[in-house]
Amino acid sequence: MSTLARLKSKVPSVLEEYFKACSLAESKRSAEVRAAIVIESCARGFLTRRRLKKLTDVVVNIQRYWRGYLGRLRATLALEIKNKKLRELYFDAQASVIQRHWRGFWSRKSKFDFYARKRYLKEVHSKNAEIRKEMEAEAQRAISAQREMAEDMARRLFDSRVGQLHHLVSTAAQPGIFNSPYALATKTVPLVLGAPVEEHLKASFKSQAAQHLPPIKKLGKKATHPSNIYASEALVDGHKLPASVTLRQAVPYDKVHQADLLEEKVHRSEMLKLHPTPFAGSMRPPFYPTIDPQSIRNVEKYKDPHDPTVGTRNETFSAAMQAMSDKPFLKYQHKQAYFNPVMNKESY
Amino acid sequence: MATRAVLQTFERYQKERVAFVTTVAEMAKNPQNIEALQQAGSMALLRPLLLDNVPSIQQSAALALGRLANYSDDLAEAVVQNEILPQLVYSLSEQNRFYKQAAAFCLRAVAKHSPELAQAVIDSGSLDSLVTCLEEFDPGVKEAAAWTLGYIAGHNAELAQQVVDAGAVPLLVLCVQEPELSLKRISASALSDIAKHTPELAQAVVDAGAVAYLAPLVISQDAKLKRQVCCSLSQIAKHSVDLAEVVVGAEIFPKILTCLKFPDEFVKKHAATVVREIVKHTPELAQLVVGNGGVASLVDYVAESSGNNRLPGIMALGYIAAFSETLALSVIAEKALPPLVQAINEETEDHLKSATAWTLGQIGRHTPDHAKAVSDTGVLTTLVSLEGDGASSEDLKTKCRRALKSIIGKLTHLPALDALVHRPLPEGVMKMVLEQAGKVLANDPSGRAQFVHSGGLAAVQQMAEAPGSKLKEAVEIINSCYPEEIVKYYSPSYSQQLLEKLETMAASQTAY
Repeated sequence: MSTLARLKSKVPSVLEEYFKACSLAESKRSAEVRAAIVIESCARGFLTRRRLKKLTDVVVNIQRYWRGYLGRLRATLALEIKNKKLRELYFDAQASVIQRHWRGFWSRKSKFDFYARKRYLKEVHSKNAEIRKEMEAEAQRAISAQREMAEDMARRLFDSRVGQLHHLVSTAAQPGIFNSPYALATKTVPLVLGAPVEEHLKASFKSQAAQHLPPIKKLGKKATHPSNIYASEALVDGHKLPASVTLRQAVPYDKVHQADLLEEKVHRSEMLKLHPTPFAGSMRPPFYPTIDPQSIRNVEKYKDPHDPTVGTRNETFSAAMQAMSDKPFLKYQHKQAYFNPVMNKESY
Repeated sequence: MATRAVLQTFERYQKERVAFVTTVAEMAKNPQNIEALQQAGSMALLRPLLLDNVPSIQQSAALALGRLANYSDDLAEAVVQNEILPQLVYSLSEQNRFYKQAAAFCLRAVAKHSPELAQAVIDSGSLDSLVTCLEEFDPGVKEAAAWTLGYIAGHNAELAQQVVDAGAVPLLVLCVQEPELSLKRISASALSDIAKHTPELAQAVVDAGAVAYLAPLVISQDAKLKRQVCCSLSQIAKHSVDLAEVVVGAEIFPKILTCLKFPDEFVKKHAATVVREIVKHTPELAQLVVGNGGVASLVDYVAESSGNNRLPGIMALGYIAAFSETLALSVIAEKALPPLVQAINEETEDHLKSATAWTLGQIGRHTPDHAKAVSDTGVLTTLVSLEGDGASSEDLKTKCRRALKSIIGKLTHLPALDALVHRPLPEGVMKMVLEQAGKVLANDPSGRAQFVHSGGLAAVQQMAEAPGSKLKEAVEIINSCYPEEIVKYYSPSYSQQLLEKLETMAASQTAY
């Protein structure tokens, strides 16, 4: 109760305080309201700003990420372009090299090749130098050959003339024409090929004489003794035989035939040496000149006026046998015997 | 006894006949006796002796007649008119080899003088007998027959055709293969006489296989044989490309180039002729010759020889250079120009000079380098003087003009053109020079100053000022390369114009 009383005592003061408070509050209410509004607006502003900032941050972040993406795209594009350009430049350079080589090749092939011409001229030059050397050598050879031929002819002419000279050579008492004492005194003896003319005369006479006569050999008494001339053994075809065997048996029986065959071979080889190349055929039929054709001389049989038996005997030879064969002169008659009917009849 | 007396008379007559005919044959060797012999009527007396029984009288009679006919063509005519030829021809087929030689000598002596006499020899039926003689075994008979056939065929194409128709060519080719040198010579010369007229005859000679046997003889050491072989090869090769290829195919290169140094001058000349006849047909043949070193031998030959002997060498060089610039360059590289320049300066005969001028033109006409090489030798002035000389023949003048035209047309070396501008050249040539100078100056800035310094521009202006000159257009082209003041400075009439201007100015001033 006390409290209540106390409380009730306090009511007017309270009421007054209340009233005062309220009127104070009221007097300050507009200002406070405005202040409150200001504070609220600031607070709202701050909160909104804070919210917006968050949004902005987020948006900026998003934009950042987006811009990064776009930038990377552009960067790759740009990189590609740059690489493409680099590659193009590289290929252009390579293409220029190829084109340069190609143009050089094509120009050299189709229009004009300078180095080929240079090489050709060098080759021609070296070949010319070679030919010049060869020509010099040939000219020297030709000159020396001509000189040799001329010398040879002159020597042969001199030899033939000397061989025909009839002048006498000098003797011990009388000097010959080619050995005059005047020439000996003045030492103007004429020399030909290093020897005086008289030597040539003697030499040519000796060679001429040697052609006709065999050399005379002087044999002593011992050499002419029969036991030295006739040997006791002889070498026959590789065999040693006693010399008492006769000459006929010492020689093979067909030695003559073999000698004839050898002669024929030599003759044929000599002909081949003279005519080594085969003849080209001529267009005419070959012309064989006949030896001793029929003429008035051999139509009639020869009647020897000095033979007393002419006309007395019968004809031992038939007309066919007496007729001239068309190959009258045969070298190897024993070979023809097999084929020649006349000879077969052993009419000789 | 009676027979003895008869035989004695005949023997004495025979001795007299022998003495007569041998003496006449000996006397006929001496040219002074021949007139007297002819007047004494030897022809009529020798004719019946051709039919004599004794072979030696026949031979000596034929020999005497041959020597008489050899002397002049009147006597040869007399031989033909006395109807000796048929008798000779008849006995040619029958008698022994000495008589055949003497009869062939007589036929040859008649045939060598003129084509009509050769035709008369053919008309007497000698061709068949001569061809038969070519088949004989004795080389002297073959030589005489081949010589006669060569003389007959050498006159003109119809006679050569008749010889070929008689079948002589294969036998002549056989004769070439014989070992005797004189026979080879004569048959080679006969083949060349046949082949020289027309391509068909040359083809007939080639068809008989002549080239294969003639070509190896090129290396023989006998001078006369080499002459004849080279002559025949050149006569064959000159007609056409195929024949030249046949000759080349017989492998005469490089042997024939060594013939160009043989000690005998006719061998050299004929060898150069062979090279010329081969080279003139196609560029491939020219290249073949160059590849075998032909240019060096030709240049040496031209340098060493003189007169008519040089002509085939010069022409061969010209033909080689004509085909392409590489070949012309190889000719220049072998120093061919000095001997050619020497030739054109020293030779006296016109045809040699015109050949040399032609050759120089062919060398210089290809490119500016070639033209420069030719003009560096200083030969252009010689060509100009030859062209202007009244004593030169028409042919020489034409060739010089063409050579100058072709060389100057390619000349871009300004000092050379400059030197030419200063010389007194005829108008046609000067026009060429000025045109060429205009073309060169248009492209050569540094040369323009040089041209002015050397006085060329002044000389050119003077030429344009000369009355009635056709050089004005060319001079204008040159002037267009220079600024106007320089042209005016150097033109001779400018000083006149200035003086005239001064006078008009003075007149107008005094008028005031």
